[in-house]
Amino acid sequence: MSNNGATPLRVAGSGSLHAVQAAGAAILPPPRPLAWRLLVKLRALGVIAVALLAWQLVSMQVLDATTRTLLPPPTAVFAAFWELLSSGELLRHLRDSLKRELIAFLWASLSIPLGVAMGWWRAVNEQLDPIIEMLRPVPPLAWIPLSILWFGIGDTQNQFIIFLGIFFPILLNTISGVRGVDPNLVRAARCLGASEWAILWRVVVRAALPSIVTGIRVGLGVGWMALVAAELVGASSGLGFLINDARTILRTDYIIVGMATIGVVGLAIDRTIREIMKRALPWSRALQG
Amino acid sequence: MSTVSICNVSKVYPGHGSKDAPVLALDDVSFDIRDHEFCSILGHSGCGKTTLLTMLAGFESMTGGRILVDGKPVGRPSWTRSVVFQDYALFPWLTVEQNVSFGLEMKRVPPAERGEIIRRQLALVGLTGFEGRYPHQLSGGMKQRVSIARALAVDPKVLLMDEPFAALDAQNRALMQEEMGRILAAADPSARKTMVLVTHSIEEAILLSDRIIVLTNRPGRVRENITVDLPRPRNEDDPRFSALRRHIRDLIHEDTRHRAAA
Repeated sequence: MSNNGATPLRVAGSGSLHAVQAAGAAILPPPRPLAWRLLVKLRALGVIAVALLAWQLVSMQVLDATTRTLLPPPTAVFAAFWELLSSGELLRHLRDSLKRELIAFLWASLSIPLGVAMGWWRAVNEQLDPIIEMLRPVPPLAWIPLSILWFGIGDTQNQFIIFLGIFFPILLNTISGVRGVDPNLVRAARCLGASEWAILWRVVVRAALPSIVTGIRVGLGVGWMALVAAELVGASSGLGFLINDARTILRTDYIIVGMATIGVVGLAIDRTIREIMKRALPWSRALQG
Repeated sequence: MSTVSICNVSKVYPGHGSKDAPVLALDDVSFDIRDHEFCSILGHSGCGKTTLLTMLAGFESMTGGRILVDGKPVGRPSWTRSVVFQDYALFPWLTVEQNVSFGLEMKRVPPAERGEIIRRQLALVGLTGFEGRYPHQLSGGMKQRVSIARALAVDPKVLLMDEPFAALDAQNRALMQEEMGRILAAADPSARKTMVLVTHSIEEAILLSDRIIVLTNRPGRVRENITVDLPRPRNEDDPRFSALRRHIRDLIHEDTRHRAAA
């Protein structure tokens, strides 16, 4: 299509002013056929394909029947994936895990106003910083024993652990985003007649948004990791529960399916937020790039 | 209708610790700016001219003296003294139109009137058609035009400009200076704002000013208060322009030599 469009221009334009523009267009290489472009895209999967093949070979040829239980071949894993998917079990666990992550995130978003307050008002920071600094280095997983005693086994305990994982990255990124606001933007707003409240809401929070979103990205990632750990010990559903439960019945294929799902969903969450950020804050990418 | 009086203003920056002595940035600076006047504050970098502007805007307090606008001491920053910054300080998340609109919203100008003011200001700085662009899609010169439009839109009594053209490349700077001169020459003198420009460029000061305050270096003191009455638009080839330029250059060099000898 585009080839057909370009050719007459190149011919007709000789000697005229159009020739200059046509020459510019001619510098762009003609688009390659579709099959070629697909091949180029698939190139990135080269190593993965080779690794899967090797895994299959090792599992089928090198290992005996007993050890094969510990490392089932990709074909068996895929069969297990299909089994868990069609029975609805995988989706049920995934739904429970995502629900916990979401509820914990909603609670953890309280860190945004808290972080704005700590970044903006010295007095607030002075009071809260020591507490935060002491709690922050305690890994969310270290809270598991206490949280089981507090909340018992189940959703609340899981959500609490995830909440801890999400809370601090958002808080710290919000604080640093607010502190990093260009002081001249604040001055500009002041001399245009902005009230203190308008400066905070219409300038400081907006300018800190890219940082806050980065905090959310990091937080959801940490939270997702904490989620799986929390479910390993304190849940009766969810992806973490799935893989731990599969261990007790020696279903390594289920374990691998569970792990792969955790990885892919974690990646998908991260990508989604990045995509939202690109669309919602087009100006921030331009600043960083 | 706005006059500015700078009366015996001084500014001391406290040192940090015992080794770092306090710095006297401005020492007993006094001058008056008349209504509608364009006044340049000229001096080397580090002579305290930007400090003087930040105190005029109300961003910083002074150690001694008073600054009066229309006879009243300046206090907190206000739209009556809007500022054009060297680094533009445009809100990157707002479009050109929204940036100009910001001050109007803060002033609670009714939405019906905002559109007309924005249209007029953008036309004045030659940015009609760029309303929907974001700052990162504009060149440096265009950003500074937005910044000027934004500062003028709130209808300040005094317009303060802190080296507004210093970050531009040479060609854009010359263009913007010329354009500023055009705006000044075209405007009815009685409708003009009182303007204060901080600059280190002698040519820029002569091109635009009714009054030039030459500051000495560290501490900043008023070396000379010059009234410029060359006809507008001004031309660098005018012999009176050259003579004034030589005079000011000698003033500044003399100050530097004096310092080197001491």
